[in-house]
Amino acid sequence: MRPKKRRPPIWADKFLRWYCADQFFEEVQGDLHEWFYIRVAEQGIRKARIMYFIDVIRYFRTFRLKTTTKVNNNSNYLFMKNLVKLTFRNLRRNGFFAALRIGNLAIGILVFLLVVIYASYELGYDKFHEDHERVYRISHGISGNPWAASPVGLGPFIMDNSTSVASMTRVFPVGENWFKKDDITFKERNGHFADSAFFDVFTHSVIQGDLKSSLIQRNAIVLTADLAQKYFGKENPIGQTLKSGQDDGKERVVTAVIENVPEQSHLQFDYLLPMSTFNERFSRAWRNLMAYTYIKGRPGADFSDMKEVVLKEYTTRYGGRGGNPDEAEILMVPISQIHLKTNYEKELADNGSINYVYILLSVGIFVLLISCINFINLSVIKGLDRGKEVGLRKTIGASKNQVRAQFIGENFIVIFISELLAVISLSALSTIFRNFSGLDLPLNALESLNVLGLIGLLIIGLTLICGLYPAVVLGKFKPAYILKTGGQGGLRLGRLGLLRKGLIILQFGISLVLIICSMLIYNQLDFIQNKDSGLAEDEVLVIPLSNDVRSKFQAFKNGLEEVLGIKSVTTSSHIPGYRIMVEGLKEVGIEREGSNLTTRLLLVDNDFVDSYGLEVLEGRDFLEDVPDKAVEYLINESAVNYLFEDRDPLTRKLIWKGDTGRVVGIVKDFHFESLHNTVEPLVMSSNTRWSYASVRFDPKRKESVMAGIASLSNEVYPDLPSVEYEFLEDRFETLYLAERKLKSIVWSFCLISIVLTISGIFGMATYIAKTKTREIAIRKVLGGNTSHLFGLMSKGFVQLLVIGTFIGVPSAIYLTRWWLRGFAYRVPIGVGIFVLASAGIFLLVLGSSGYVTLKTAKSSPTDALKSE
Amino acid sequence: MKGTHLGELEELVLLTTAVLDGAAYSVTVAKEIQEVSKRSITLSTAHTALFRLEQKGFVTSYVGGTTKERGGRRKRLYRISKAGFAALNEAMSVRNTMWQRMPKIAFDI
Repeated sequence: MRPKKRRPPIWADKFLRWYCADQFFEEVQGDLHEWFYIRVAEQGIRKARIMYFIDVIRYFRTFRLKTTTKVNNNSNYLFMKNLVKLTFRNLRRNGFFAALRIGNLAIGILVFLLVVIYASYELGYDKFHEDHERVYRISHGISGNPWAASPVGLGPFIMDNSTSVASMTRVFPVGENWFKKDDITFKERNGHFADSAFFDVFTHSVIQGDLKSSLIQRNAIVLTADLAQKYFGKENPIGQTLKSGQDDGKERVVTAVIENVPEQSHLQFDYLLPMSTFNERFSRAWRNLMAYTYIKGRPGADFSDMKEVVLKEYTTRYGGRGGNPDEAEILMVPISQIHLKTNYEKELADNGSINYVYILLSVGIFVLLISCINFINLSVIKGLDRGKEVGLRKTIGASKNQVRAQFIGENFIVIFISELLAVISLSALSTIFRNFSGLDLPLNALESLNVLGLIGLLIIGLTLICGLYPAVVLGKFKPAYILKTGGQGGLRLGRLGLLRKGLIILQFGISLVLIICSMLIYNQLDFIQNKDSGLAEDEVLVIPLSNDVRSKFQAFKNGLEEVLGIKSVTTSSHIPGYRIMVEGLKEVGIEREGSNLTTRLLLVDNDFVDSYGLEVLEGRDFLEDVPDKAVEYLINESAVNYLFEDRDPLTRKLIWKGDTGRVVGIVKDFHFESLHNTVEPLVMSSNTRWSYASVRFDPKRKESVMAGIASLSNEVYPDLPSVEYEFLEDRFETLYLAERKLKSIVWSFCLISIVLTISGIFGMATYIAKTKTREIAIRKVLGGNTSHLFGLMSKGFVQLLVIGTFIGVPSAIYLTRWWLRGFAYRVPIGVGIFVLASAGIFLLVLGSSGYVTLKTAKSSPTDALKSE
Repeated sequence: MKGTHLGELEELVLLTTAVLDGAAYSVTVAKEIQEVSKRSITLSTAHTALFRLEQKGFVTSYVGGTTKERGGRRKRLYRISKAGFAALNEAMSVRNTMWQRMPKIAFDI
């Protein structure tokens, strides 16, 4: 034995032993030792020992590691490697089918992801507020007519009388306003008055200033980032002043700047003014339904007491006025539900609809389902090709489960690729989707954890759903049979299994439902647009009267009447196409128990009926010259029975807020709301309290009218921006915005589902035809003609189609009926749609399978028979 | 099979392997290179180069005998293969061509 000291360090050897793979160990250690003794001779033992250790570390390279060689020889790793290699080989060999399968699934996944992202966006409204589940909007409903707005005094009353509320803020729109800084002036429409507790109830992130104290001072103003940027640029806005139109040009001091309000909020604003702008009397008044009252409850608070107290207060305050107090109810809506679940009177924003979220979600699921079905069918049918491969594997000793694992793995890879493709196209097309939806959807999958999670779930889910079945089927191959006959192992190709038949039927059914639904939506919108609304909406434009415009309105009106192309000008309190106020009216001489009848009430001047093209059926229009501002009433047809039952309206008098007047005429019903609703009872009162001017013009002279208004506005209001107006027609269009969007979405999804279904059929037909090449050739040789062959090949599909139609049509009828229930005026559902849709899909399916058959049938039979 | 490009160090190691004619393994290769080129290379560098050369098919290896210094451990000896020899020739001819193309002036620098 050598003296211990002359040996290389043992611990270094141990380390080498630990990491180095067996195949290298002996060689490497030998080399190292040899080197060590050379070193000892040259440089001495100490240095040699140190250098030995350094050399050991230097040998630490991946290819020499134990784990590397272990992994390389691990059977699972080998299996994976083999699997990936085989999958790509198979995909490449069948380029067309691979593209079909991947493209199919990618489209399905894309649509599904899009829809889910959209739905979760819509469902996520107002959830960014801390403790949003404790924040409610409080309002009331009377006679089944729920209101979003509430009396200004409701908020303070709740704070005084309830202990379950932690904080409360009212919000109410400032309306038309402008701000001036030095010589820049902008109109600002979107501001609210708010209580000082606004930022306790709602969560907004501050940029500058102190939120807690920002809304206390009477002359304060809180700006959003955009507005601060607009007026102050890079300067520090805090403490600076803005002249405010709402305060007759007095200055307001900026107390805080907050981030822009997130889009996912029903409460949108650019600036806030403090409620303390108003005096205490106004702040506690119950007269006007103009505020929106939000409360934040204490954790775990029970609100039933509070509701009772508030209801009692309502009853005492409103008893006898406006509706039956017995039917009054207090409405508490969690803020996160306002966007989708409420559409009350006077909502702050155009809310979405939970039904549309459901519709889109189900359409998205349908499309994904169709593409899954395609995937399954194509996988099975394609896999049948590989009987020999499976046979060989089994002969060599693969178990059924190993073969299945192989196919699941392959499908997993294909699904993964499709998913990748879908995610990439989602971000690539994100601008298009955002513009279309008008929403800032989180479409970049990498930005959102939820989307990533969803994608992960989808991959697993799809692999289980789409990957398992084909794998199970293909695992059943009987090796001996296949290898002996070279056939398909007892699975007959031309015949589709029961499950697969069911899937195809389902696919047809879904496509049919989508086709019918989109046709019907189209018809209904067409119907609405062409239905006579009873008013001349295409010849009217509307000018909202701000305080500024009102100041010199008479001069402006006189000028308007001179403009070439303008027929008449009328003023009114509201205009058709927007919500018209609901008021309680009394009939002179009739004592009703409890409450008054409520109707929509329009205050108009004597040009209104003519300007809007309304038709007086009985009695007369308002008189040109009303003596001593005497009030008169006009009612619409719907109001006749509702208000007067069997009494003759023309002999009766009505009272509203102290104005007593005769009913002078009955106008023909006209649609002052969208056709979702029936025409409600409407009373028009000749009254001079107006906030809109409407101009009836000659549509042929639209340009001259627009130019005329612009120059007139410059002349009358030289200091103000040009007077703004809106064409009534455009307003009515926006009432159907949701339907219009739905129409294009359902159309495109319908198109996608058709393309998917057809491509699936096409793939299957191609395959079946290919395997039947010899059969077709023999039949041809024996005298079968093309049309006979065509029938033979298409028979299977036609059977499935017929069954699919029987399933699809009734479901479509059910669904469309449900959707149409949202409209008071519905297009009749004719047989035509169903026949047309079914015929369409029949033609498409027969066309695609026929095309394939014909191609096969036309080829020379000798080629087909020679090949064997 | 990985790429068959011959790196500078690999070329040197391959040359050395050819020179040592059957007696090449990391210790002798490292020593030889140190002596001839005065350039110090570590054992592990030599071994890695030999390993890569073998993967590229330029050398073949076989298990050889033991010596006392190795404490009875066998060594793996490397010998240049036909392909390796061809690669060396190729490398040399590239260099020769380049040398011949060099203008006279370059020698004056």
